[in-house]
Amino acid sequence: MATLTTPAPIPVEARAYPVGHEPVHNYLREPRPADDVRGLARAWAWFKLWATTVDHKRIGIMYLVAVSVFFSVGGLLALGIRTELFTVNVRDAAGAVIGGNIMEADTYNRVFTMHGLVMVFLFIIPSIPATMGNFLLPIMIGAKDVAFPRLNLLSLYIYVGGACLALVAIVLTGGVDTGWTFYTPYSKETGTAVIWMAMGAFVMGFSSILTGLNFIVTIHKMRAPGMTWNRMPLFLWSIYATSIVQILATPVIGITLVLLTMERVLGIGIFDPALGGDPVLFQHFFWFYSHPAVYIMILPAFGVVSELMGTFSRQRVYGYRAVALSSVAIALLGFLVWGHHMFTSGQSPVSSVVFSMITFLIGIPSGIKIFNWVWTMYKGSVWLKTPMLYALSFLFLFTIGGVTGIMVGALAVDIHLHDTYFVVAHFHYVMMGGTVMAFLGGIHYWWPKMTGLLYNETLGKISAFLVFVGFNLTFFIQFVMGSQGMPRRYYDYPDMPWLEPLHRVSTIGSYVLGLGLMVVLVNGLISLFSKKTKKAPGNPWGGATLEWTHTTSPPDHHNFHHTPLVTHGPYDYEVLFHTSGDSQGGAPVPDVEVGGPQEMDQTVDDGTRQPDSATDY
Amino acid sequence: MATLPTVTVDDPHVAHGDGHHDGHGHEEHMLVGHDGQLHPSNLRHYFVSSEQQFESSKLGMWLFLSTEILLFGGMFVAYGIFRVLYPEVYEAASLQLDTVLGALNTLVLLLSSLTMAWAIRGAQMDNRRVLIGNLVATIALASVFLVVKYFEYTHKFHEGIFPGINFQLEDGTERVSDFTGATELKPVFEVTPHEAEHTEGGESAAEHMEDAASLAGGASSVALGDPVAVEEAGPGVALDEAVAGESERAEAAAPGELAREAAEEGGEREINKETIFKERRAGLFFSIYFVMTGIHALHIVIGIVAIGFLTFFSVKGRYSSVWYTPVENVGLYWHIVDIIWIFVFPLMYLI
Repeated sequence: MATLTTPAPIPVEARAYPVGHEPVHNYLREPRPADDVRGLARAWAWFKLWATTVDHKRIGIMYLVAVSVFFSVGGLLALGIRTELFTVNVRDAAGAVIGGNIMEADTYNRVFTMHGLVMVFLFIIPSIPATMGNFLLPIMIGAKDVAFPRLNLLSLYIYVGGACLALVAIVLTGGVDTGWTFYTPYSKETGTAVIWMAMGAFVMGFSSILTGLNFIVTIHKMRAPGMTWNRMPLFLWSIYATSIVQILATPVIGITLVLLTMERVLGIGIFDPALGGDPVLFQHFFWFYSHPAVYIMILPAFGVVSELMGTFSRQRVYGYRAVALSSVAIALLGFLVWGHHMFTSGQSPVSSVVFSMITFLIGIPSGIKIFNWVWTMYKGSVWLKTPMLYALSFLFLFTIGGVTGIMVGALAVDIHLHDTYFVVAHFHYVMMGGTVMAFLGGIHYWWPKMTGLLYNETLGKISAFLVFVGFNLTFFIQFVMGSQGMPRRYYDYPDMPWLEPLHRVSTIGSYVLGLGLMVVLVNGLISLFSKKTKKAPGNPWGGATLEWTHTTSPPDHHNFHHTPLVTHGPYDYEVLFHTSGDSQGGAPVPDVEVGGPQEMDQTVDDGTRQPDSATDY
Repeated sequence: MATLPTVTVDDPHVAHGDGHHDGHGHEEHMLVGHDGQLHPSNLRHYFVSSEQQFESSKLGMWLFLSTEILLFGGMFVAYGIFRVLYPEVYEAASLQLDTVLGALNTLVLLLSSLTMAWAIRGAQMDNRRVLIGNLVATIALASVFLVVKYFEYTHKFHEGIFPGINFQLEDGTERVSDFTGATELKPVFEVTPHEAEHTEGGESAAEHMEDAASLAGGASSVALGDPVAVEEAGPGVALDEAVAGESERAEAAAPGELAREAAEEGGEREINKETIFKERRAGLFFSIYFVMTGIHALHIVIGIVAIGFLTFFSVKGRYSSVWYTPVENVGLYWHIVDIIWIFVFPLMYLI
């Protein structure tokens, strides 16, 4: 209970509220420091507000900043790798390297390992769920917040703590040189800071688990009236499937990394053949998490692309249930295929065959999605804004990544392609061509909602073009190199000088890709800080999900004035805009401003009404 | 400005001080919400009803428990794999564990689950005496468990039973395995003796067979590839012997069986409680024993801390039949810790 004194009496006729019912605080306004706090004190006040917020929107934005930073770090490391491979090293008669390289072999090992670790654990796993998932999930189901807001903030802090542990590893020994997979026995023998890095990944696992747990409970328990499972946006279905994987798989990497640490500290010998242990057991443990983890990375991307396809084709997403359930199917099948990473590790032929077969099965739900997205565009009114360009890139690149995945999933072919650049190209097509494209598309799509500002469309299109071209230059050629026998994780290729031109193309492509990503960053900064930036309307794209139809840009502090009553599906553009994609004949989005609570026609009084505007009385 | 109107409202932003400026707070009593209606004090503003809040918390806890099961699942898998590989070592090594103390601890944990459930009932019945009494009893029982565990551990350490590499073998026992690897892998494509003769030179075949022959313990020095012996007998004989060793190896269905065979053929001792300190792979069993029971004990400690908080807040009168979610959730956690022990105990101590 608090006793407050109102600052000054308000003239009776100007009062919006009955006497005695004046809100002391505007619940819809984002908390901000008092106006008279200035200078450093104001900065500190802002910092405290953000550091202690439990608002899912602010937590999502903080995650976005963090993953962007780590994406840049991982990207710079990648450029280092590509630059090293630009030329074959020049050697003197004795075989010593005298030129043509920018780093030693040991350094190279650390660089590619840290590239993998940063990209996997610090960027791509939290990328879409923790940023867009946090920001959008409660809004999309019509809730005020996630089920456990403080746990949500805790997961952010745990994530930062894990990142700090990884940082210690870098400071101590310049990073780890085991590859991101930490395979024993080398990870037991190497002198680099494996323990710090493993503990960093272990701690970040907690963050991942808490996020997934929060999302599942929120989706199960906090949907607004009328928000049935079959009215949930497809993004939520994919986030739901992701969360299942996060909860069921992450503990296994946790115990694996703990066992690895104990192996190094206590010599428990579970992975040490000299003591009767088994290093292949480590691979089983590791991939039991890390294969499902690739679905943690790609499933949210499917969700984002579903949203983009619907909105920018002005058409209901074709095969809603098939797309929704295929996410869940992929999540469940994803637990049964980890052995396909170990075809050459000496597992029994029978299990290899079974793993290979189940791997092929995953192609079915993935194919269902691809075909449904294509059908969504068919006869739709496709609107080529920046997010849609990224979505189309996704469709193209992920299909290549998926089909080559079937190729390396085939037993005989994999014996040839295992640990070559073919595999490198395959998973970059899925992870970067898939997840990162969807991430960029989603960021552009929801940027107006998150910031309340529009971005420069021309710069956006330039960036989409550069990223697409740069990505293909970098990685398509790696399929060729891999099939010719270029092994992954090698810092030089003296026996294969004919690959040098291909490596050069790849390296140049990586610079183009880096440039494209720079354009994205610059575009965002311009949007944030330029005075000319236009304010975003509530629904700039004509989306039909709740975050577009029922909230302002950016959303109010508690998202909704009233709990929304959901009466239509997530892609019912006909119902909302009295039009369908086909009838528009290619015309852009209808000029409808749906955003803003005042536009809402239906509300349900469930006891959460807030007297925050004069029209309530 | 003499008569400033004073308004008393629930304002979480103010009431909660600097930590929560955004309305995610709660108060001790029935409150007037910002909608002018009465709300239960523990109902957070983003939930519609107390039921919704309670069920959300409980679902969250169940999901967390599933992660616990998977965490221990990894260790159970490791246990199972090495049990299949070295059943005789496991049997002998488990004799080192004190079944009586293990059973005592099982009993103690089961009792503590009872008191925990009883405490929840106390909260539901608004009976604070029952609640606090049972929480304290649970802490006491959990502490008894840890004390017993402490005596078990120190006894093991005293006997030189440490995990893995630190397992104190008897003097004269070779530390490096008598195998080149723990699990011999069956080749993907079986090479028949006939093919082997054609495709591999005698020398390299003998070399290739060296480890296989050494596995068989009592194999002749010819098959072992001893250069002098090979020269005397001629390469053909060496190859024949080596191939014979290979086909024997191929017949062995699993690495575990292979190990047993090797032990039997070598005329080695039978592994039992007394000779366990000559068995270097016993360290592996105790690795898993210490890791599993250690992480389990860590969970007990976490549980004690959590129940300690519950007791503290119970004394302050925080929980009642209206709101006892933390009691319920910690209770669930405590039961899962108990159930995990119910599986650890027979696997480690009894079989």
